[in-house]
Amino acid sequence: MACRNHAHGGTGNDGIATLFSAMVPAACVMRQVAPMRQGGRCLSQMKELCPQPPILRRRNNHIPYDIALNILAKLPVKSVIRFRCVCKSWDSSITTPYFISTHLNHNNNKDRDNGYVIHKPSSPPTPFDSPVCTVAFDHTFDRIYEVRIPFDFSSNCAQIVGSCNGLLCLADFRSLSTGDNDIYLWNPSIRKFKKLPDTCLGKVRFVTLGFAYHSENNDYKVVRISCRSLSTPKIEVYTLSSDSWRRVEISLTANLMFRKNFYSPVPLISGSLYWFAYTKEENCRRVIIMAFDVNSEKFKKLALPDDCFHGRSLHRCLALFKGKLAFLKCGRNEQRDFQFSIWVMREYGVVESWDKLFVVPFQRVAYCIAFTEYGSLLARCVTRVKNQGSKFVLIDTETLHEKDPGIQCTSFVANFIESLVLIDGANVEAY
Amino acid sequence: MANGENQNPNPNPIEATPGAAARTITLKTADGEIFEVEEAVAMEFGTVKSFFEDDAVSATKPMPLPNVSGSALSRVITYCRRSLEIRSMIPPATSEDATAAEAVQGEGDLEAEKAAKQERKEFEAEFLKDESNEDVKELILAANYLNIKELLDFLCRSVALRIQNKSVEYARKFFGIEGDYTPEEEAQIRQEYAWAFEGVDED
Repeated sequence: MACRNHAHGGTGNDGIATLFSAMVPAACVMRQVAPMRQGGRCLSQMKELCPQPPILRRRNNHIPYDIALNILAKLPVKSVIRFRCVCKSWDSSITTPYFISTHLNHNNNKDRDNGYVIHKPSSPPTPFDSPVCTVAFDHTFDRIYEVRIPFDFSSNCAQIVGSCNGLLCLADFRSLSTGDNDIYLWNPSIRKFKKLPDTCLGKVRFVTLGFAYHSENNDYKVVRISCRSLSTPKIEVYTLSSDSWRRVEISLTANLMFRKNFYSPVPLISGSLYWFAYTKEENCRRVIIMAFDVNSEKFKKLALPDDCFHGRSLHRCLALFKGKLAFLKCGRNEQRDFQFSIWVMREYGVVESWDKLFVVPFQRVAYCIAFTEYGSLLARCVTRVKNQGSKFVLIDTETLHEKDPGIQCTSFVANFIESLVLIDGANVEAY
Repeated sequence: MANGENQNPNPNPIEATPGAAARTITLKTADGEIFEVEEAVAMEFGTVKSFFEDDAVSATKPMPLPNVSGSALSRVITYCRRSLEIRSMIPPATSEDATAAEAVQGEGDLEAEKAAKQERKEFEAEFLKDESNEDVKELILAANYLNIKELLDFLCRSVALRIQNKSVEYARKFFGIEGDYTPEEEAQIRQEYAWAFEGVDED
């Protein structure tokens, strides 16, 4: 079989520092036409690092290897996968962490006007449906395509824990209370998935999960927190590069109760995951934000905006909004009307920089299902009309323009991008 | 001896800065063609820029470009000229840095940027429409040799669009690569990733 550089079999820790020059053949068959622009490594080093260059057919008009890879990095995922078959050196190059990152960055920058979301209903499908996720445009929620989930959960209802760089983390929605700990990483664009190994904590209850990209190491982590009422939470972290779980101690106040973000994923902003937590001080229960730094694996407390405590809060959630932490609250204003208020933390980690950006009025109580990076609020509005249940609406927070998102029930929603992440690795399955 | 200005279908060369003489740089291609190019355009070529950054070099002798043909250089000059024009549609105050731009940009700037983006899109869609794969490859080699990042990036994106639905054998032909998998190895890949081989254009 072709020789492959395992992207996640433990070599991922070199970070994105590897240069493209590592993949450029030191000796090309054709005459040198390009000045070598990837400086820093001498010829003998490059010969050691790079895989065997492609065997070329004719002697003229060949595109240099580094440019060929530049072209490959601009192809859709399906094409890249197919072109693994072109030759062994292409296959080797495609599966390096550097190529995967370059390809991802191109996808990220390509068309900032057209981001994607992926969503999945929270109710289990009927016996005749298989669980399916829908990929849609994040501005309009217009459907693009569906993907079928290639693995099963005992409750038949999967939750989208998070989404990073095109890699999704799914867990069993119902069993999070009972303690079953099946967790999967899945890249639907390349049809690969991986079941996580057994956790350290095993079957515990009152679990909340977070999924993060660890940029310093070009790695992925799953954080699992179990905490029952106000006590010391039990925390463990899974790291993809080591394919293992590890307990993490929390050094802050022990009397904490982490709260799920409900349907939307625990947001990842600037390398930290953000949860709500209840804490008890002077016999008073307070809501605070707990930030988990993915790199240092330490928690930090953050206060909510000062002016968010007026009036009763019917629903709260945290989200990512244009690269910053957003806090959303649905409650009544002074006139007893319902509204969603949205604060954004302008400066990372600085509590004084909470800024109330938007207020979205509602007829009745509304629950935030998701708040997209683009700034659309997907809400479930409770109606009093008989037999009508809930109505779902997608609101652009800047224009207050409303749209029917075409969703029938409360869903898990996460941002989405096509990528090559998890193309190879330990225990990665293809389907 | 052909003058680049005559061959260029673009009737609107860059205006020289008022008060300064329009400096041109002379380039000589592999097949002996001479091109006189406005300095602003020639400085888009990284190779040319480095060559002339050395003050001792006089601008009177033509700079040799032994790896570029006349037809390729003509196309490259057309692209760079148009690209400069489009870039000049955006007011200079706009900076590359996103956050600074958000703070400083007025509505007029945003409109101009949008218009420039649309112009570029239309121009790029037209530019390679009638070029064969061989011509595009020649342009890539020229852009690479001349070190023109923007043109090279555009060409790579265009090639990606051309080949994205093509077969493995098409890709091998395009890049001049010999497949080195055994028939069994190749069959295994095709089976494992069968979904990636669906809906591919016929060769």
